[in-house]
Amino acid sequence: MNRDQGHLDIEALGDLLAGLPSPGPQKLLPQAIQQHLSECEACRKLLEMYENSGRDLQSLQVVETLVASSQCPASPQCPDEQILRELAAGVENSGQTDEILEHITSCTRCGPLYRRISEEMSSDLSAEEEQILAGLRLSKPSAQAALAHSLEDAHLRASEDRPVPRNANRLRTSLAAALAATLVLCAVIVWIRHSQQHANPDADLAAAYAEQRPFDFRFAGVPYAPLRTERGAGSAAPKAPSLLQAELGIKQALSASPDDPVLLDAKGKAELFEAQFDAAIADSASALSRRPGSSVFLSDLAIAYALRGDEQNQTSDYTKADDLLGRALQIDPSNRIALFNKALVDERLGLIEAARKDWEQYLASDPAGDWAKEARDHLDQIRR
Amino acid sequence: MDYAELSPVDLTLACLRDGQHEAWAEFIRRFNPLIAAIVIRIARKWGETSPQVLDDLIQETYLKLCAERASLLRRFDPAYPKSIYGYIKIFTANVVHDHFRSLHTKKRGAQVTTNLSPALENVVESRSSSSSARSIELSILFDQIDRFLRSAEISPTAERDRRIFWLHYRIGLTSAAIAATAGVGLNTKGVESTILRLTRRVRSHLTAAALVEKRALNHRSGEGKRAADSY
Repeated sequence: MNRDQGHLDIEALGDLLAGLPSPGPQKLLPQAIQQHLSECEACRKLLEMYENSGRDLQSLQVVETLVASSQCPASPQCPDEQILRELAAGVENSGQTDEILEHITSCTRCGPLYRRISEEMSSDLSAEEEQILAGLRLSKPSAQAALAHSLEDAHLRASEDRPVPRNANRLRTSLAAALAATLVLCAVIVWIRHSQQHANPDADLAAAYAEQRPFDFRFAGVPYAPLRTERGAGSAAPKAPSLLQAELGIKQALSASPDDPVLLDAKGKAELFEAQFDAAIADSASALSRRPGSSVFLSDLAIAYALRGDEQNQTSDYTKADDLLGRALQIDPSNRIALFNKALVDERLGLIEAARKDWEQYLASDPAGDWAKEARDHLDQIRR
Repeated sequence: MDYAELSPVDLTLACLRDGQHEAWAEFIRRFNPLIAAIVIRIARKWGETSPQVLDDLIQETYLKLCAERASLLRRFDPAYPKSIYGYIKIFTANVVHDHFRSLHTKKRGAQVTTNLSPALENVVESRSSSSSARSIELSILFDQIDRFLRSAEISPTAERDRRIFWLHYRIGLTSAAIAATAGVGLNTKGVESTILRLTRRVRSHLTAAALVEKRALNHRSGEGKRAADSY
């Protein structure tokens, strides 16, 4: 109230109506003000104007929809739908967030489009959506467990650079059939793993690595072990029983499948333990030629080159190793073993800045544990 | 490893990098409501409500997440951990839209494509008879309010607040949707209070402007009356 004249003022109206819907029910106003309004035409008019201003604001959205209804094609300034989706999801990728938001609030095409996208991207579920979700097969723990196994399987296959067939894992059956499929799938996975363990000597090689770790490079699947010897001096170490077992297993398996790339790669790795670097390069290259897109095989071949480089003090071998590791990371940027090995090769090449970046990147993806500690030691040494 | 104890980012990275089924199981348990909500919503806008199709699309999203993990890992910046939800939302929306666009393209013929979903096309088709006079009137009102907001607010956040105001009144976004928008930098409560504050200022301004106009009208009509009386 404007106490001098006993009238309402605009600010007071704002205070009074702030918590009320617009137009606000006047009966919710304090009694003294209701009394004044019933007696004062000027204040009733003021209140009416204030309420009209609220209606005007609400109507602005209507004009947006109405104008949108005229066929309005995208202008050159209109951002791509994908950018609007990123904006609505809270991801800033374009570097032009302010400009795009400004555009959205004034563009009769992008405004409604953004509203629709924003509704789609909401994290909150309506009661109706909750109900639909509860009725879906994938809301059931058994179906989720089956899917988790399928994803692990897909991950393993993708790691070997086999494309995942589109919709290959769709389970289009009823719940009963899905449960049956789950059991079959689990059995298949267990069988595959079991058979892999017995046909694949990688486990023995990993054990040999853990026992004597003759070089600083890493293979996929090996546990952490402290470095036992100096660079490239693998031949000095006594042959571990697990290495003997691995060599025997590889030999037997290769006699049955001489072209198996996994076995050829394993043979190359076993040869590294005995400092047979030329043979290791030949076998690893042979494995890679049979599966040229394998980031794991690229990394293994790179180790062979780098270790021969150590032995023969050949920069060209390091360069070759660096190139192979770069390719491995291009194929699979998440291959942190290749990244670890690349940092080591960069150090050998004297590429200190590249090595520093590699170690930092490695530590960002693997910040804890023994491998991380080793990486951190390298990084500290570079920084010193 | 107890995957249930990992943060959403660490869990996602564990799934995408190592792919253990225990990690995926936890990921599905945590993210399924979010992924399913987006699938349900977009599928319904394309007119699809079959639970079987929805299940298939949800499953396809997970499989593609796994298959395209290298690209996701490249794009994700661990410095912004909350953005993991954003990436998963975008990824899911793209899977579902791509699925239906592909279906529609096949139905319509490969040469006919559109960037708009049917939801927006329907709006375009059903509301084509607009009142141009009203549109002009409201366009003037928009300009008047926008000018006021640009001149009345001088704080460092004035531009952002003005955009929030228009995202609410022009675009019709809820406070939660505005808060989720990149670059806004406020939570839902912050957005609500910004809208409330600017709404009061704008309504006061509009009321004052209406009062001035009314007084001017009264003044003009009074002068006119006096002029008529003098004759």
